[in-house]
Amino acid sequence: MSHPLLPEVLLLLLIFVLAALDAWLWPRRQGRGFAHAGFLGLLLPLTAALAMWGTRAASGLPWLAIDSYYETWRVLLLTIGVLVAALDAGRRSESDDGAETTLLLIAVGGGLLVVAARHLVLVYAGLEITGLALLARSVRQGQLPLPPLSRWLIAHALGSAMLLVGVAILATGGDGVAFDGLRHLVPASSTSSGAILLLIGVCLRAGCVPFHGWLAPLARRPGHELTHVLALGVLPAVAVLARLVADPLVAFETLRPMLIILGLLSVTVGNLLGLVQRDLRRLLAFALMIHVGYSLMAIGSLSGSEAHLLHIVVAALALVGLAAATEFRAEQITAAGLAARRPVLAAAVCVCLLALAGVPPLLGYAARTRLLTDLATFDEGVFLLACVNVAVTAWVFVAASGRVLFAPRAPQPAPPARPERTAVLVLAAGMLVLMGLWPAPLVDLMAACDILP
Amino acid sequence: MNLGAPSIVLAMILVPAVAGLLSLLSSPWLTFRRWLGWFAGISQVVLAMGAVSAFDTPPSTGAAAGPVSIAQMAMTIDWMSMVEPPARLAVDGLNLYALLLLAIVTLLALCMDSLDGPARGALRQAGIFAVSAAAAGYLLSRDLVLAAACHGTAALALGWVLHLGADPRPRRPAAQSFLYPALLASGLLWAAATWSRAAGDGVSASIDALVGLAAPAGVVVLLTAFLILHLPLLPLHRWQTRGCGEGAAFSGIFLVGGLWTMLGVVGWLRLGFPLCADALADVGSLLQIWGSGSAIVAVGVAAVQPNLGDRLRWVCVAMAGLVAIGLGSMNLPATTGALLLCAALGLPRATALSFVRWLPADGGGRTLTVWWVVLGLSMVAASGTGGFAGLLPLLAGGAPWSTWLGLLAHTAVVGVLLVPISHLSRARAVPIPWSLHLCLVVTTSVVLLSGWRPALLAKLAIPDVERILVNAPIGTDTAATDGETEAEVAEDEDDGDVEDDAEVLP
Repeated sequence: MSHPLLPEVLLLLLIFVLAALDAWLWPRRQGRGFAHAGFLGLLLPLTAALAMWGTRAASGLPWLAIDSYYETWRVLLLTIGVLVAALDAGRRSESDDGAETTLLLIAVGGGLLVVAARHLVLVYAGLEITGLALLARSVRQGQLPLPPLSRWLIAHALGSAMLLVGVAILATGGDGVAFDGLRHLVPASSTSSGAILLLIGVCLRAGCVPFHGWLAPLARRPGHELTHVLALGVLPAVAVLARLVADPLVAFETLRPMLIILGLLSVTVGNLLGLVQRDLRRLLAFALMIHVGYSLMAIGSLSGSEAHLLHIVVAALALVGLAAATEFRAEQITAAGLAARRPVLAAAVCVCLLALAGVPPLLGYAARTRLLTDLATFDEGVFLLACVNVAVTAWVFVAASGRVLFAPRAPQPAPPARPERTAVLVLAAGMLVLMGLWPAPLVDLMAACDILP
Repeated sequence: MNLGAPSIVLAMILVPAVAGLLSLLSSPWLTFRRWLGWFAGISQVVLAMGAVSAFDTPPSTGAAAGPVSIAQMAMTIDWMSMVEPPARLAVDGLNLYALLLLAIVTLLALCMDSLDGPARGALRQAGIFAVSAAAAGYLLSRDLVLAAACHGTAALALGWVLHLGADPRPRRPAAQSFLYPALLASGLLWAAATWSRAAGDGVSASIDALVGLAAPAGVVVLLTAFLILHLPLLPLHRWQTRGCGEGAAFSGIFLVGGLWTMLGVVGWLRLGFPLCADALADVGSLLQIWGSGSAIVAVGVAAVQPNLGDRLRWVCVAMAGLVAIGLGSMNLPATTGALLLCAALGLPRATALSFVRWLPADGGGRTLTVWWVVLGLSMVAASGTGGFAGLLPLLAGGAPWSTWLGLLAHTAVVGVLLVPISHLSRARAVPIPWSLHLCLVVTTSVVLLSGWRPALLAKLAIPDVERILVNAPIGTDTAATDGETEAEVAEDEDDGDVEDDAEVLP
């Protein structure tokens, strides 16, 4: 019988080993050795997490929960980590920078801490670790424009401040800020304002409307960096929201309608922005905004966890796949007419875009079906608004894939394909197709995820 | 429920799915891939014929008759288990023709694929089988969510096949013209499924669970829009007039022409009709008016088209209007007639659309003219062809005004299709490729065979259509078919007796 925290221990060991190697081998030579080491090393905790998926072994630590919900997120975050490390390995190698790989692993570890935490201080710590690690990674790209980072930093600081203030207000109202203590909180004006501040702080990290101002400018950064931020910086915040609303703050009934409104706003604004967007990287940012919005609606309707988890899986896989298809450069990428030059690459890009659209036979269809079913039983008005938004989302991404396939010419020369990047793209597209064709195993696993202890 | 032969049901989906995958994997070996395609295509036809022969012809004491349909050879699958209840697949009297048509169309589409040359042939062949597998899943499904998923998959795969023609960069992308409305139709079906499930027990989207429940009015609107997009009726006709034209692959055109309308009609009857009980009268009137108007306008536009292909595609829209008139009549003869007409027009339409796509601008000759006449007569459901068995009850079962408008449109269609004969016969003679020639021969044989013995096919569909109509609030309109007086009709309606309707059909 393996230890319930084996994947986390393996990840920590990997971080220490890579950091030590980085210090020992400094200054480094040209190559991508660290990126490959990070990729191969991350396979170990991922294998352990996959082997332990569904065992629900108790962690033995009071403020860390190893429940089925966390196990699913653990597999998801480690998979994202592996794919992103593979993307790193497929970069043009100016230098073999071990620090970037280490920071990526730290960000993954922070994400795991965020989801497992049953104490608000640990949630805060996890969010800070993830955010700062990703920010540090981005700052190291010295030759690239920094202004988008400053906006991200401001949003990060603001979110931290609101989260801390919210935690402090909640701490004054009861038995501490562990989840066990928060469950006994009585909703009052002060505690409600604390809960709302807490929620806004997390929403700032999740990039949902109207707290999304920092997200779109990041599209000016290179594709892989954008993916790090979107997949590892934003998605764990959704898990925090789901946990908070379902478990310790379940008595605060104002939070659920608030989440649904925020979700609807995110989806609607993301759709409207996506309708006129031609740059593939900006479209990625809006895609995340839209999918976070759908997830918030699912969380707010207090249905099972499978609807928002499926949306997160779709968004993560499609984002990583599309990032593999965009070259690391700052200029606009439309991918229009890509099919004329690279038919296989274009097909994989189209699979990712159509998965975001929610079109069968891809996994996005199963996600949308669960969401709409839950919303239809929750409230008819919300359901109708969601239906309209689902249709617009489908239009946005089907039109984008139509541009990839049917545009008469390819305005930009096709970049040379690196095997690592091609592998990531094909893998992401293949997973979206396979799990979409037969979603039963995955949906069953997600439906069995129980957020409550 | 007779669960005796579930393997046939599953094989009808799995055989083309596996064949599509193998086609992709065997793309470097051209000969092997072609033989694989032929083998899988013929297997599909054999399976479909097996399903027809195994079907226990109703009315039967062996087959348990549910409130909606007499599903036989049913099976359940855990497509999205635990969250969704297991979905059901079944063969019944409504999808039996469509499955047979699907198998034959797939085989002939593989045959027509040679006209596009070997380039990207493996992708096209995989796409053809993907369309076939998804369409089989859609036709067999009794679960609306699964049906919508299969429909969307078929639409995507069909758009893919259309796009892989010899001319991938036409002036107007045919695949795009087809794909957007097709995906919109999938979305409409999906939204209807989700909505009606929420209005039911919130768990099951199966027809067996939802039948008898009062579906929201929005569901009726969504399903009607789904049908109109599929037929198609004006002004939602672009996929027919543009999708089957310039730049599209021959195999794609054949699949679209042969299947797409049929998928819509069968889906509406099997999946939509049982849900729309309360709003059927309004929807029926709307369909009749819309169908008549669409048929008349389409014939008018077809008459002024100088290009033979455009003329034929507009005629297809006009014939879809006639089908809509039959479906909107909401009685047994007209509805069954619409179903039969739709099934019978599939092959001639597919072959004719491929024929005009192939025909060179200055091509013609006596042989081609003869084939054009044969195809034209099949397209207009002339007496002696398979379509006539559907057209006659369709027109006879409708309201008087719609019957006259339908007759007018039909007569005009005959003229529109036969007018170009003189021009065609005087043009330069061109040899017909073997694949097209084979399609013409097979199509003509099927059309004549089904026209000679229409009762063989009709007797399978009538009981299921009758059951669906009985479930609807109306469906006792027998006046136009058997010559009863209005008083007798009223008396019949009072008695709630609809049993005699089946006898007026062939």
